Amino acid sequence: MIAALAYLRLTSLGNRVASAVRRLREPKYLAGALAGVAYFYFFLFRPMGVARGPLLLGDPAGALRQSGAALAAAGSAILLGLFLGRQALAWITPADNPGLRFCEAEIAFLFPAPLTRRRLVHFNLLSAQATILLSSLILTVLSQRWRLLGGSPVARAVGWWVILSTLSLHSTAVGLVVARRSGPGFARVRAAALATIALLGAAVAWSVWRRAGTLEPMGPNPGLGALVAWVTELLDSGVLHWILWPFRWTVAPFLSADLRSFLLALGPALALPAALYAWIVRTEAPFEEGSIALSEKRAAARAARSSGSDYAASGPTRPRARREPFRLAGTGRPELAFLWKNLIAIQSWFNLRVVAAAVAMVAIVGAADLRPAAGSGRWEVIAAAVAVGSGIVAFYTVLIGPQLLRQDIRHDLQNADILKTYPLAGWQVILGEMLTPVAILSGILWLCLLCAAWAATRLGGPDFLGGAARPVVIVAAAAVVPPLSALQLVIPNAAALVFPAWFQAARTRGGSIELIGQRLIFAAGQWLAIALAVLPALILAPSFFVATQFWVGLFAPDPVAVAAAAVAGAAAALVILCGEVWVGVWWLGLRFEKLDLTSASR
Amino acid sequence: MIEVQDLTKRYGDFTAVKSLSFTVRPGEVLGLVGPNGAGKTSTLRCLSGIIPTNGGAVVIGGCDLARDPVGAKRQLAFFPDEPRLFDYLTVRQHLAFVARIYGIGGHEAAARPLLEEFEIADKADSLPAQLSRGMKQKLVIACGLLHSPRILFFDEPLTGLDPLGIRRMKDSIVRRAREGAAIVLSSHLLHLLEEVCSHVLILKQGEKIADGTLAEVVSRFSGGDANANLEEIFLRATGGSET
Repeated sequence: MIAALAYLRLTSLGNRVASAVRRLREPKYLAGALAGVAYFYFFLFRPMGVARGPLLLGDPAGALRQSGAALAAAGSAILLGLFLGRQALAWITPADNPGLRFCEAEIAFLFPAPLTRRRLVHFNLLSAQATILLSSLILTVLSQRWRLLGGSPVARAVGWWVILSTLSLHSTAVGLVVARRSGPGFARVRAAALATIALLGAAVAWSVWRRAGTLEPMGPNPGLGALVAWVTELLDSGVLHWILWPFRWTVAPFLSADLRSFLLALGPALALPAALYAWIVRTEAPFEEGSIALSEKRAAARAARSSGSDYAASGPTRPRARREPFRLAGTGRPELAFLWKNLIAIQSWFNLRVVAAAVAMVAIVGAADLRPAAGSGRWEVIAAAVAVGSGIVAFYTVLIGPQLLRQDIRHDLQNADILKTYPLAGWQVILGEMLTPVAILSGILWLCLLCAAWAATRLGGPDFLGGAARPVVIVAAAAVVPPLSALQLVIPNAAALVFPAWFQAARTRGGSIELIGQRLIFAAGQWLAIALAVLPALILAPSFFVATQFWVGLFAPDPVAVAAAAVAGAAAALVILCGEVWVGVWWLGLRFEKLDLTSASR
Repeated sequence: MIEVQDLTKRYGDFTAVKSLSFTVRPGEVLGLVGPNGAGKTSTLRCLSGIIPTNGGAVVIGGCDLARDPVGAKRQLAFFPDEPRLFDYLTVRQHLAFVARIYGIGGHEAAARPLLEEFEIADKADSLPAQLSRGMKQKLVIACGLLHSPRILFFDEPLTGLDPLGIRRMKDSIVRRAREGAAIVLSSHLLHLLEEVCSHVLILKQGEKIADGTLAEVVSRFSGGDANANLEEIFLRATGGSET
């Protein structure tokens, strides 16, 4: 069986590599691969080569002395947390985990084959090793920068392998036990398991709480050495010391500083995975049905993703029918039908809960960023928080909003065949599709402007923004928002229509290096295009602003002059932005009419 | 009426449809037949304006598809083999959306009999994810028929339907032809074509091998066998293999 598995894995790997290499003949994959390699080199691997000395600050010598014990304690605590958390989750919601996961082809070929169940278990465990070995290799390369650890790369690779194998075996073991949920006495087993987990959790919490009370408290600005010593002492005392003991064994090879300590650590480190392996092999769990169900679900999710759908029909979270944003009459501008449709669709994730969470997060960030001067009034502090928060939201809305809000032709590209049979000009389809993200982005930015205006009223400001100037400036800025949002959306929509094959590749989930590179090129291209498109308005609007101020009041800091200049600047920006948007939508319409996805995918 | 003259469709160096010409009059049902890759779907997608042609002319109900695509599309409906629906619109909302696109006032009255005809009236508030494949197919057809098109293109219309659904679909196609619609459908189910089609066009490697009424095509390839059915004719005409 091992020979068959090795043949399957090696042949698959070989074919995969050959196919990836063949794809590099196409310029788009070659460019993507080059960009991906450059990204990994410059952002991940290169910094490791130039890293100098330990990454610790403060008292490096003292910290180094303590670091081994501290890391062992912290690593074992993390492992314990993962074990307990996973166990608890599996027992509380014992739903979808069949224990052993097989792909569709493996189910089709191996389940009817003359193999014992134990062989299937071994096949699965060995298959998992392929991923674990690759992950260990990658993590070893990435963790090379942790000079503090010392030790050799081989020890680190083996250390990673031990840790990942232990986690994988634990996941399988828990899954297999939970997979027996339909068997007799499962409720008792479950109750006992949950009680044990709760008991362990309580013991850990009690130990930490008790020890923390007796430890000397740290000062307001403790050095790293003091912090390390405090954590080490906390985790190495009382019951916790014994609970963490097996997990210390597991992380010991990874943390070993020399060959001798590595070899000494290796034996005990294998004890936990060996125990888990024995547990798995001895567990008689009906994993077949669960494996088949899970495999079908994953296949459905994959099919849904590749067809552009947001969810798999058999997925765990089926969507519910949403409320209509407004009543759609049978007659009227057809573009509004797209707005109506996309507003319904976007409710699946852009709802009140999300907005409330975002507002809360921004408020917290805004408040945290404030350092109010002594004597500031409460309202001033709140106003400053609102100003900072709305500034953050506006910044990120402009920066990444058009990339995140894809409820336009990008989302409907898979339905292009249907849209093209409609009796509409191409520009009508494009305009209709863009209305929803434009409306949402404009709404968010208008809200930010309103908040900023309120904050400005509270905080005061320069005299020339007093009187009628402030509302005029705000209205002028608000008027520019929709065409600016629309222009920002023209670019990614153009990318989807001009390079549909690239777009499909960029939206495909997956981590091959050429796909990562393609996404990087795509994002960079979009930003460059947006910068160029906004440039004329950025040049002309301030020019009009300055010219009007000169004409009205010779740069006098006068509210009337400022208001007039703001109107003139906004009008200039509006004309340019609207013109660009119109040309963009019209041109995209032509592209849409000529779009041939069949050709692009060939 | 559908008039096709020298229709050509290329994908890069590959020619999917070569100089195809035919006419479908009101009341006629033309069956497009051919092995896999013969160009049936490409032809249907060109005729319904989904993909651009590389040559030739297509006139739909008097409107040139290249010069007046909107006018032509107002008169046609295309039914793909794979039902494509919007994930977050219910059955009723799909019909409302399509009604607005085609400018159909009071569409509820037009939609009700269609929902009943295709037996999805009780699923009016269901999302596509809650429908079986056959029901999705029925919804696509209901949406397509909402604006009472005079020209219908079906790509493998019976895929995913249950036996009763197949029977109803066949009846529906025949009835609409009787009411004056010009219909083109592609299918590998030759017995369906024998039942509903008045005319047949056999394609192979993008080229027309034969066309005409069923009787004309049968007599041309039967080789004197009076009992030859369309399946035998198809195998003789195409060699029976994929292209």
